[in-house]
Amino acid sequence: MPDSVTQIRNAGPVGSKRNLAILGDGFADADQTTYNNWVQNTVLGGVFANDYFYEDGSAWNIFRVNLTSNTSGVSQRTYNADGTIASTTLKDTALGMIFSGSWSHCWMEYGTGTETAIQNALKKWVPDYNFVLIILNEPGYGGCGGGGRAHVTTGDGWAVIAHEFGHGLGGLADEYCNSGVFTSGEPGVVDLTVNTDRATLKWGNFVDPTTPIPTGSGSCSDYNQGTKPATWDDNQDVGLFEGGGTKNTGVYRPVINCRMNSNTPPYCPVCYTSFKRQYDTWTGHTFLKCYAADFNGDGRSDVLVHSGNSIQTFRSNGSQLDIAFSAVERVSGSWQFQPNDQFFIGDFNGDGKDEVAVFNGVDWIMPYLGLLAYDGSGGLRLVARYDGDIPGWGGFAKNDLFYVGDFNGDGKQDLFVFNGADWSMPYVGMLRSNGSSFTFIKRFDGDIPGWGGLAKNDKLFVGDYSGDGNADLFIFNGDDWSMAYVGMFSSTGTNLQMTARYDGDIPGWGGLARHDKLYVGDFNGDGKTDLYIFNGDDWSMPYLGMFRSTGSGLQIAHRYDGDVPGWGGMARHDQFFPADINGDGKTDLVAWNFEDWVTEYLGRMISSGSSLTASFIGDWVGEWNLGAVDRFEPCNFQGGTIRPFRRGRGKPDLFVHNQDWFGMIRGNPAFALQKIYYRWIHNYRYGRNW
Amino acid sequence: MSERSLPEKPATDAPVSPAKGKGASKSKVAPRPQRIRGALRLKPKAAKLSTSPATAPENYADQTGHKRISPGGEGYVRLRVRVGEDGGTSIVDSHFVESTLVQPSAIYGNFAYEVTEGEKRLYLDSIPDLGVFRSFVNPDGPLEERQHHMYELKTYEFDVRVPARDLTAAALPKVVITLYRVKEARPAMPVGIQPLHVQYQRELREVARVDGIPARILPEAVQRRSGKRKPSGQK
Repeated sequence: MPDSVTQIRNAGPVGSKRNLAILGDGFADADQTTYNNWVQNTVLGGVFANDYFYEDGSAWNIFRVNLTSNTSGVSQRTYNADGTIASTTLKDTALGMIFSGSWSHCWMEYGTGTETAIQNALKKWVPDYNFVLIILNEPGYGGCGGGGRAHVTTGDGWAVIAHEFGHGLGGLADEYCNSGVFTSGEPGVVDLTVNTDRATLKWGNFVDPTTPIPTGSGSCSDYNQGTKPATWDDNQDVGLFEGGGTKNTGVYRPVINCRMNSNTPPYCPVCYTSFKRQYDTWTGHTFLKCYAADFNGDGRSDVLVHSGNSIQTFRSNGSQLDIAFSAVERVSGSWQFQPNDQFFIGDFNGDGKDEVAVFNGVDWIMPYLGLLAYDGSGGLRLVARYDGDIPGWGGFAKNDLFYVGDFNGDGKQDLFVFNGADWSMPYVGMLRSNGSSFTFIKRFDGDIPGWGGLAKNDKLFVGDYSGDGNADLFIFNGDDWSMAYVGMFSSTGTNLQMTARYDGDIPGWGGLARHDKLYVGDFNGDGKTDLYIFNGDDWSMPYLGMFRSTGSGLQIAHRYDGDVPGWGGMARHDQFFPADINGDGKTDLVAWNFEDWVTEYLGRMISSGSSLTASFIGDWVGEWNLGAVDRFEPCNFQGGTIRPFRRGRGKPDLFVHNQDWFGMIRGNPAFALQKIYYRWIHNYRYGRNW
Repeated sequence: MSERSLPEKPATDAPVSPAKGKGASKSKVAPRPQRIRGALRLKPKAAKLSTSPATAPENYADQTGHKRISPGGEGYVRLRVRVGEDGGTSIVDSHFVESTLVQPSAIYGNFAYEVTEGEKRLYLDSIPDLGVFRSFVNPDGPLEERQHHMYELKTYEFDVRVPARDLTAAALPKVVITLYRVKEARPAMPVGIQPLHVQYQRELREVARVDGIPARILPEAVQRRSGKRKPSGQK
């Protein structure tokens, strides 16, 4: 079998990522499956499936170089007690490495042609590698690392390799003790110190003020300065423990037991954070694209974060988020993530857990639509994919716009799709979910009877305004005609029927206008989706209207001219997010303005059913500095009895996010910051990473 | 800035005559399809298409990417630098990599290198682990083997990336590669606009340096670009 390379993880262009090259030695033709499996199970399924490397897998391209050796197994060498060579048995292998099993000889060594063979293989197959992992087809334990390489055997477990990666990739020191006294000055590494001054301790930001410093004193100490708290975590609680860097005394480590101490525990907060900072640039992670979803059906909103060609999901326990799933390049099934993927959250199979519909109309040679569902182990997998078309729709196009709603009332969310840009006429489609796939149900070509023609700037809004359990449509158009229109289209489950059209006005509104902005939600809790309309542009003052759905039409419930009591004056750039903030079954509004005032304001407009009462917070929400870059996702991360996935209902909380920051804001009884994260979501036992 | 002169909305109980702008009003039927660049672009008739759901395979084939577009000469040169026993340096290999190149915003780990031309930084990166080999711990061995056995390397090599566009003929003699040891790691060492030896004078120690890059060691494509090499076949 000729030599080759398989890129087993494609995180991005080599110049924007770190590149891990894996080379095998002593794997003959018949051993290639063994080699492939070892790489899959130990590297991808071990090192990169746990703690730090799992989270930041998107920093790494991984190349498996498939080198075929002429013989199976590697050369062997034995040493006499005095260090002289006792015997050597050479084999004809791709790299010519020699395994000795001798600790004092690094367990293995290079043959005469090994360095050249490695260089040649790298130059040919992975010319821009950053780190090299060489695997010997040798069942005995042993390994030798350094200088940007790690050499291991098939007898080594992933945890040993993860420890070695702590040195080779993290620049971390050993935290175990062996013997002797450390007599040098302050170590340059991040995880050892000789400093016992709390004020200047280099990991002092992770040490709780109630933790004694030093925390453990004496030879390779445990917690022995006072009583160890009952909640103390030997791996995650940080203090100052004597012993480390192989020495018993004279030097201190941050935790009792880190992966840099005994391989199997996760990296401690100091080592974890060092890794995170070191490779953050290469992950491509940002918090710009976040989606609230309840992936495990516990009634609490989790979050999906999409960055480039990776996604991560974080699960809420009511007060914080913890990593649940991390996927780079693809999920099994398979869907390959790209920067322009659009995600649509909904319970598409009616199991009480959210799934993800994903559409990409620009990054591939054709548009793709996929459905991602729970994979049974905390993550997502692709269960259906439509390449270029779903039969009946007549071809996906790049400007297809998708909307989630259960239009046939079977408890499974479906999709409406609209395209007003790519064809000679606009189209609306209905795609029904059966839980594991979508089926085309109906297409409207250029018009829905009674609407008088779909137009390119039609804006669709989903809500069950008839209260029959089927998601219906509102359509607004303020741009394409001589006046603005609102249409109401009731779903029969297989069709849409117009029940009302408002030409230029909804009675009581004083005239629809071009920049009217519609927000849907059941503001009176009668089971019918109502309509809020805001206009900050077309009149001499901003207006907000509340229009109650009668089931077949709209009736004005209230119009606010220039202000909602408590908001302090509406302004041109007010934005709104429908959400049942107080959990009373009536859809309220989160109000947001960052443009019109001297500072930013975030407001709660609570619906009584026919009117609104507002309150607001300005500039800061706790430690969250409100800003123009902030984006909000109404959600329910605290949990509650109301099904959080029902659009616009039972969402008392907010996820707020921007490039670098992610926050959890409670909305009830007033806005308050629950949690704030910088660059990555991680819950330190004490301290933070900024 | 001129103030916007806008009308006031009529009262909620006042009769409204919607303000009409340019263009047509809606009728009960749709307008005719619009031509796009002179052609009608219509979806196939829906009625003729199958409405049966597709059967999902266990694994779909890979999605099909666009034809790869060359980044138009964007790329970088990767140089392999050897540091000898006496601290002297030599460039032992180089090749061109066609890829975007991201520059880290901070340095971490035990070593870092910086490529400069005068005061201008061309690139920098961190090197976590250099110049040493470690035998893995022997968990079942005697006490002395329950730690790494360390081997200091007399000579070692490291890799350097430099944006190809910066390796002009005029610049090559002035390009300096400096390898630093991080003597004192700080939790975060963000990179500013000053050269590393200025910004982190206290934390970094120079270990080795390359002064000037000989054009002959560069990949041919980069040599051609740098203007030092005549086109092949020319006398």
